[in-house]
Amino acid sequence: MSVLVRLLRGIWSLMLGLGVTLKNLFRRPVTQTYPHQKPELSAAFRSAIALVNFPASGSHDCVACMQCVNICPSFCIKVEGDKPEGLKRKRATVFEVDYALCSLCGLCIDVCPTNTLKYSKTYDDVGYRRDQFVYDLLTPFRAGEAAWRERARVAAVEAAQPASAGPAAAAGEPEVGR
Amino acid sequence: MAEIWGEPAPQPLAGNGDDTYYLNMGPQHPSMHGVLRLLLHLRGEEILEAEPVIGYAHRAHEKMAENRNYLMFLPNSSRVDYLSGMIYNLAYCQAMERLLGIEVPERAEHIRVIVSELNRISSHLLWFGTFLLDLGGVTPFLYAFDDREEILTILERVTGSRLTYSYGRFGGVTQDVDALFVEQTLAFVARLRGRMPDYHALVSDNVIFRHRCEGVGLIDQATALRYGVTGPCLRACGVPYDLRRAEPYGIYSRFDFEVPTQPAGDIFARYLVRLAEMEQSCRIIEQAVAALPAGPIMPEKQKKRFKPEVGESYFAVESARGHFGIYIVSDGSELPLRLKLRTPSFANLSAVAAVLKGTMIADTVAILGSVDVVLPEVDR
Amino acid sequence: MAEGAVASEHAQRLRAELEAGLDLGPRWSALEGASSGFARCHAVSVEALPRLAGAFARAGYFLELLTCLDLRQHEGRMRLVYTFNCFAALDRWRLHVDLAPTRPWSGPAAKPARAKKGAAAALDAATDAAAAPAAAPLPVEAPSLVASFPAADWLEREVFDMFGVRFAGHPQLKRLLLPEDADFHPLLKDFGRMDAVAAPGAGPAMGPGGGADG
Ligand code: SF4
Ligand code: SF4
Repeated sequence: MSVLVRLLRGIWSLMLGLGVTLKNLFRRPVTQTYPHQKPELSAAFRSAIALVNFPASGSHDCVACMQCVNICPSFCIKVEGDKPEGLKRKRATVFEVDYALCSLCGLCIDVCPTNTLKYSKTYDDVGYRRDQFVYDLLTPFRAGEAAWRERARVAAVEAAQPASAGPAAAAGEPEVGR
Repeated sequence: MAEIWGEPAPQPLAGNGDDTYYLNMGPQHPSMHGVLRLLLHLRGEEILEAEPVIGYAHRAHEKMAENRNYLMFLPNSSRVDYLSGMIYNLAYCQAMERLLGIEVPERAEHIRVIVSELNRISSHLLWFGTFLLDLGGVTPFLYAFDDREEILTILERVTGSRLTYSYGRFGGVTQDVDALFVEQTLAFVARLRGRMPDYHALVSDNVIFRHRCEGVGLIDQATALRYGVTGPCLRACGVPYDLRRAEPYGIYSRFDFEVPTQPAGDIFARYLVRLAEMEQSCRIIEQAVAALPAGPIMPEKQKKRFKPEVGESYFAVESARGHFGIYIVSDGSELPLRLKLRTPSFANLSAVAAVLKGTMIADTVAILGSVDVVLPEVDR
Repeated sequence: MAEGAVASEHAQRLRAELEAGLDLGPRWSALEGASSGFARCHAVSVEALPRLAGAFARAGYFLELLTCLDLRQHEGRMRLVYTFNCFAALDRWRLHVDLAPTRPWSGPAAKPARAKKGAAAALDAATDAAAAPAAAPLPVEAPSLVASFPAADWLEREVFDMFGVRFAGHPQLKRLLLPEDADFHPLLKDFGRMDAVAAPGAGPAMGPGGGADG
């Protein structure tokens, strides 16, 4: 008798489970068909770092202070800079990030004094070699670099003249903000 | 086989003659949850001795800590146990805050509790899924991952990451949460509550599951004490030890929640404890969301360099797997003199060897799965 | 509250055990309190350690942590730190024993200014009793606590693995995390930096080559 009861109970427990499965059978699928359907990225999504393009100056504002280089736990940032003619601050001439090493911690972004670092939103980079992930962050700014330097030099000269105390539109001092 | 690796071949146990059969389970084994090698001494199907061989995922986190300043260790902290990365990351922040004497704003404290508990639920859900997968049930795995996906989406929205969050900073958190986060979190809590009866109907009452779990893999209180077993494994043998209660950190002392325990100490008890814990985490989340104050998420004065005084500090939190402790020794410089991570899985796994003795080989996977070891955390 | 009652019961049992003629050694009250997380700190002798561990085990405490500090550069010693805690209520005891260096220090010599800042030196000044007498030679080996706490098995193996400290009476003192054929102890301070490859000019290269014998 008790064997029979246990048997029936056992079978009933399996039926219950099947009921749950049956219920879920009619739910909408939750999976995405990835290559066809692009995922929606959140605003905070973190991918390889990139330089911010400030509209006010039309360029990034890296002053090659090396703070991000020094704080990076993965030692994956390489920055070199020079001092543009007529300017007080330095300017990055080399900015490379080895994304293969980056641990996406955000410390470089926290530490940057000019807030010129941000996360990019790429998620589908692939490569066969590790050096394919060494990104040159200055690439988008190369074309406008000479023009920026000229503008900055002119602005600096103007700012140095006490007479023309116009609005501080010096390209080297953009609005701080991410 | 063993000689290939330069190890002495295991000696046959006294009295077992030549019947002892040595079986290497892992490190590449579908149910090993990472890279664990179990060297089993078998007589027939009975395990005479089980020797976990670890270190395959050793990444030298403690050595790395000594070579980096305190801030630079932050990303490592979420990678020690990638399933409760948030809890570990915030634990490290809290340990440092105590060492440095930094006050954390109220809002940040509440956010920390919410995201930690979400992380705990996601870890338990993953355990639920993979444990049942080990036992041969594929369906619960899919449901659990569906629910877990919700959590990851919620956390990704605020932290920008799904697994290794690096969300905490000394003194607060990196990004503020918004109304949508609160809404999503509460919706998830409601959803999980709705799913629990399904889980119980699907798994807890399942006769096959019960037969495999009840009375198997006993960890009793004495064993737990001698091996320092903590977390759900300890609570499943009737000890209500939960650091959120025993050594309240952050603002946990303000919340009303229970520490679920089970008397039996077997696999099924551990299963029940984890399921009950998810419900308690939901309760904590609800209270924290209700009490979430407005305000800053970082202290007003933020330092860039951190130099603690000479001294030592031990800070412990309750991770999803148990007692996670961080022991920091500072010599007054910017680099720690020593940073030791006391991980729960390490102690729990060392007890598994004792538990496996005398069981059947078919139960190995079930026992190991029920203890919920995360190998990267064992190896660090 | 019931929990409190249990706690005092464990603490009482521990006190009774400790009163039975066990040598706790000098107290390190500078490390005690909420800011460090330790309830009581003591510098104990190697001889007293196994019996103390037995007392903790009988009183229902568990071995929470065992680790080693490499203080050879400034103080010429290794230090094993043990913490014992209780499930019933928070009562974290921190004991340490000092050992002789497992191998001679091969890194840069201690600068006089830094030597004063050494972690233990600063704390030594704050201990209640005089710290370990300098005259007595430090022991080379620590006793194994495996008999009282099986948890010590792996913890001691890890310390041996990372620091080369040997434990007398350990049933099977072999490497835990590193490969069995490794011939270095990476957490020693003169082992060298691991990340030197990635960080140009960050320090000596990684590994036995960079950190002397390691
Ligand atoms: S996110 Fe972190 S690891 Fe990546 S480049 Fe910045 S500091 Fe380095
Ligand atoms: S911290 Fe900012 S300004 Fe300084 S080097 Fe890095 S990106 Fe440039």
